[in-house]
Amino acid sequence: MSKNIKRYLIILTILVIILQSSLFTVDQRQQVLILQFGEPIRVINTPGIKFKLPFIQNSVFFEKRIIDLSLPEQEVIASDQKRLIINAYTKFQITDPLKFYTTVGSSFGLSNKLSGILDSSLRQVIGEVNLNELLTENRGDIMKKIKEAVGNSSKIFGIKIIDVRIMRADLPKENSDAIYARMQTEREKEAREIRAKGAEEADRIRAEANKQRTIILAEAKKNADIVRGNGESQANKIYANSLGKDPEFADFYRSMSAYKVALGNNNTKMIISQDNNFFKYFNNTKN
Amino acid sequence: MLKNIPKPNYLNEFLFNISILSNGDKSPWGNGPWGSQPKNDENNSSGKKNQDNKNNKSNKNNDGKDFVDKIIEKTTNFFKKIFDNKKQNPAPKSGIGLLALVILLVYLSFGFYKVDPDENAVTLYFGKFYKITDPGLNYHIPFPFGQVIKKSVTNVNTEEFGFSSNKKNSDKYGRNFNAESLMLTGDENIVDIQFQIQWQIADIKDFVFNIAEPNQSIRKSAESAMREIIARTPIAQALSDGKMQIEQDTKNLLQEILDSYQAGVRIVLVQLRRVDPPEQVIDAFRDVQTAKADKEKEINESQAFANDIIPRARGTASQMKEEAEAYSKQVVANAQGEASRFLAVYNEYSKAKQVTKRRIYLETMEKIYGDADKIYIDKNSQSGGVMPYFPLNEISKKNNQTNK
Repeated sequence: MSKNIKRYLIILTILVIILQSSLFTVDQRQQVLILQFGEPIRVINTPGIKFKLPFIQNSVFFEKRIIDLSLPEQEVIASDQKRLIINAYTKFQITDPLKFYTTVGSSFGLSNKLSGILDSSLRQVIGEVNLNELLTENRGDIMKKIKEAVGNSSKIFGIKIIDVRIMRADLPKENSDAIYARMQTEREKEAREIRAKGAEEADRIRAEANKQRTIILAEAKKNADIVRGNGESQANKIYANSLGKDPEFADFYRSMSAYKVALGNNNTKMIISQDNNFFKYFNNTKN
Repeated sequence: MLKNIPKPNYLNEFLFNISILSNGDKSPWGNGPWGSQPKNDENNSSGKKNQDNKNNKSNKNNDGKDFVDKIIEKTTNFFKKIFDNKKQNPAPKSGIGLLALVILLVYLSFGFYKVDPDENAVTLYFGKFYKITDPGLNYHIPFPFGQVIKKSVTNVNTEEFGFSSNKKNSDKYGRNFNAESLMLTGDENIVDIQFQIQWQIADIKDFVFNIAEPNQSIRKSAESAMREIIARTPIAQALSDGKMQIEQDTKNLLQEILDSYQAGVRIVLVQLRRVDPPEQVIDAFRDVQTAKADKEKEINESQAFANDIIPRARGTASQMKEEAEAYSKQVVANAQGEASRFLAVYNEYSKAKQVTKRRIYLETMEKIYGDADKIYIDKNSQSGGVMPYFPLNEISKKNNQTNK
């Protein structure tokens, strides 16, 4: 009996070992290349429990999801000779594990090669455009071009480029300083202009107000003179109507009242000659 | 025997019940929780094994596991053979069988899992996606067959750019906020932007299976999207009224990018926290604001001046007008008065011209001479040797003194 059990246990152990080296699960997120004595013979890209020959076949697992690869900051020269600091990332998927395995081997090998491709594609495409174009809606098209270039060059690796995107596209520090200087002077220009416009507007308003005042006063004077003139002419008419009846007497009468007003106060000093008509009788007493 | 087996607390009762049941001769499986029929009563152990496999199968819902089924069948047959041989010797049956049963039950009990109200989970069997489970208590065949990945789907995740609301974060990631926040605008200016995005898992299956390092991917895509939008926006717009547009555009672009990766992510919000000119030039920008205020001030002052002098001028004008009218009325009235007075006198005069005229003359002279300071010079007295002498100065002086 114990012999039997031992036998069963041995058989069981062997069975487990064999199963363990022949059965394996492939995750939804993975794909597998089966190697036989190091030579790739088949690709498994569906998930589930899978079988391989024990001991003589190896399995190599690859990522099936979209993988990110970022390119560190690079200095790139645009076609207008402006230098740019650019960093970018690419999203790719391993579509052909066999090709991938034979051309790059590991993910580490890929990141070196793909970085190189990304870098050169970036330089090539951006070298053909002006900096200004990166600062418009064309940026999307430029990124598409880079994506195509990278896609073409990396086909041999058995990967598919899903996307290439520029993250930062900045100017180098020296240029940044120049931009800051420019921004500063632009703002100064603007501030001055605003202030000057303020002064202009203020002066205009003052001048306008002064003009208004002058006009108002002049109009008022004109109207006042007209009114005065009317009054005077009316008065003259009245005088003419009344005094005109006997100008000689009017002259006499007016003169009399004028004398009264002009000479009729206490301070008047007079040296009176006896020839005066007033003294007609005063002198003739002798007669 | 039971004591040797590690068991989670919440399973105690369950296990206890099962173990009582299993003490009887009859297999407990007949009415077991998984509802499958025992295949073979005469061979308990084999039946158990079979049952186990059956359970696996039924839970998998026959989801295209032909290969697995085959394996299961093979192992079943294999064990059947072994135990058939063993049938002659039923001694170890109760001991080994019970042990196997308990181990199995404990193993299976590990398959319960709880999905919290804010979570969804994906279940995988043999690495293959099986289903999405909603919140609640759920069951799966535990490792190594099944796997559960739980993610919070109602939780809103926040990513911050150019700043960190948690100070420790900046140290942890060693992020260079300046490099992150300074962006080139469409008119080749530089602007300092801090923003945050909020995202949610929209589709847990896509989120788990389609994209490696989803958090990092979202971050990078968000920064790229924001920079692309800023790169086509003039600085003036970014600093003033274009913020809403930038947020909206970035949100749309970012969603588009992530959808193209089928990332299973929904962008809830893109929010600009601060948009400023860079530190180096911020004074100049502020001065522009000051200049605007100065301009307003100047204009207001001049307006005040205008508001001051024009009404005054109008006041002066109406004063002049009234004065003129008063004068006019006055001269007319004077004229009328004088005229009617003259006419009255004239009426008298015309009755006896010579007499009236002489009378008027005399009355006038009487008044004048009567009041005046006068010296009468008699012609005749000249012969008497009077020399007329007029000290005008003294007269004036005297005059002044009397005035005083």
